Amino acid sequence: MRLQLITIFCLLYSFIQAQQEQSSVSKEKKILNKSEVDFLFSYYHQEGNNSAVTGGLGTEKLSDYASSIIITVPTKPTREFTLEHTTSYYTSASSDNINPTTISSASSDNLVHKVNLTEVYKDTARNSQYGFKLGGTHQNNFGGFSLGTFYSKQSYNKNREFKVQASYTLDKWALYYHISKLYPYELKGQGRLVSTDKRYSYNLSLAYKQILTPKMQMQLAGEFIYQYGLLSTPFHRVYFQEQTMAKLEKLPGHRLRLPLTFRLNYYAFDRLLIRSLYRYYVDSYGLQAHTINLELPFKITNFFSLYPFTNYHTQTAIRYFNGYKKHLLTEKYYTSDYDLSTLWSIEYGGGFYYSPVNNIFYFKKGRNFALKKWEMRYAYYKRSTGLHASIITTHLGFIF
Amino acid sequence: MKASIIRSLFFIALLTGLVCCVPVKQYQKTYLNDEEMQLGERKVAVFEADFHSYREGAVGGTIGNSGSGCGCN
Repeated sequence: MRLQLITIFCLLYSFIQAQQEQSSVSKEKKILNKSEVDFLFSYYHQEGNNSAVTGGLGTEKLSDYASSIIITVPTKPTREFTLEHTTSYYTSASSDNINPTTISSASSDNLVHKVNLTEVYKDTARNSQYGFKLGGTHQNNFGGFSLGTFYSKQSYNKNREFKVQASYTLDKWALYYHISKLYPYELKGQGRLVSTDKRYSYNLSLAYKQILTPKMQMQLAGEFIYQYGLLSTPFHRVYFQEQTMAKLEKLPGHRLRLPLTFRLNYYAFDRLLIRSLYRYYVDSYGLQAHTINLELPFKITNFFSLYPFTNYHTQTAIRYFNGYKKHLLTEKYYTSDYDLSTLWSIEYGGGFYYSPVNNIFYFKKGRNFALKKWEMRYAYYKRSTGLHASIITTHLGFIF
Repeated sequence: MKASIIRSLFFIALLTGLVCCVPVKQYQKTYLNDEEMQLGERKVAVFEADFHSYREGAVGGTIGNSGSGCGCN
């Protein structure tokens, strides 16, 4: 509720500010970009049988409905304000297994809200821009906020760009009650099972973009993520060889994560583009991963394209992973979360992107309001552990 | 073996990219200015990124600073 009030307040603030500045400075009005509002919707469904809630064996059936609104308002020719609000509602069979007899506190309200505010300042004389970000996440059993900043600089001919971003995130489990209420029902009353209910994350990312030819450009980016606090999930069970009683998942309280990505986009022919990405990832838990993403947009007309895409991912398990009843009581850390196991996954699908120069349609009532772009795509996801999922997403972009 | 092949391809692509760059004038950027040629993720892909980060152990490096969230769904 509080988050929704903040969102409404920020929306009103940005609109009022935009209106005031645009009406009072008529000269600026002529060179201001249009404001944009984007609506995104998605439906995601997965099936699997390795839920971490039930110790690596049990249903992972889950459906997620998400929507997002992104409003970008240029308040000055050199200043832009963006507000993003995402709501996601999910039904999860495994969450209900935290306490199968009643609906537990972790599963009774599966509504997630995320809000992000970004303010960007552009310095056209120096080809640079900087900005600030403020974000918040809220759901019944979890909450967090983040602060961030970024700076980017282009070369004089705009063929190279360097960008640096930094952020700090504080997450907290069990906002309105003690974290012990999130434990699986049979582990309640066993005292303090986790040392903290907070998670701290520090991110630093660097990106370098280079135009290679009139039809090709690339980007190299690296991110440094350091996390500490409660990095396990307080309702994941782990079963051991020596006993029937489960224990709560336990993972080290510090984690360093290093993803490195390389992107290459190439306008291969008059109607065919190649968008590619490779990511190498390594972390202090022992997980190493390689991800390849390939998209082939084919332009049917200058404004309408169809694109097939695929994403292949392979990873090694963290050193604390083992399956159902495979762990030993002598181990210091343990998890049966198959998201952290050795696996490969493939995702493939297709979509279309439509953005005509004269807009798809527009309403002319006082202020012009036009549907500028429309994109929709479907993907099927299959993981070597048996999990499979489908996702359909659409994006409608308006200008006003 | 597979990992080393992927890594080698990555470095070859990177070196090729860095070596073959030529100065490009503003009037030559018609193709580069196409919205689908931009190096960032599509908005729909950013929106879907959460589910990848939950179902796989690797995060980050694709959409800027990795965000908050419990990932418990």
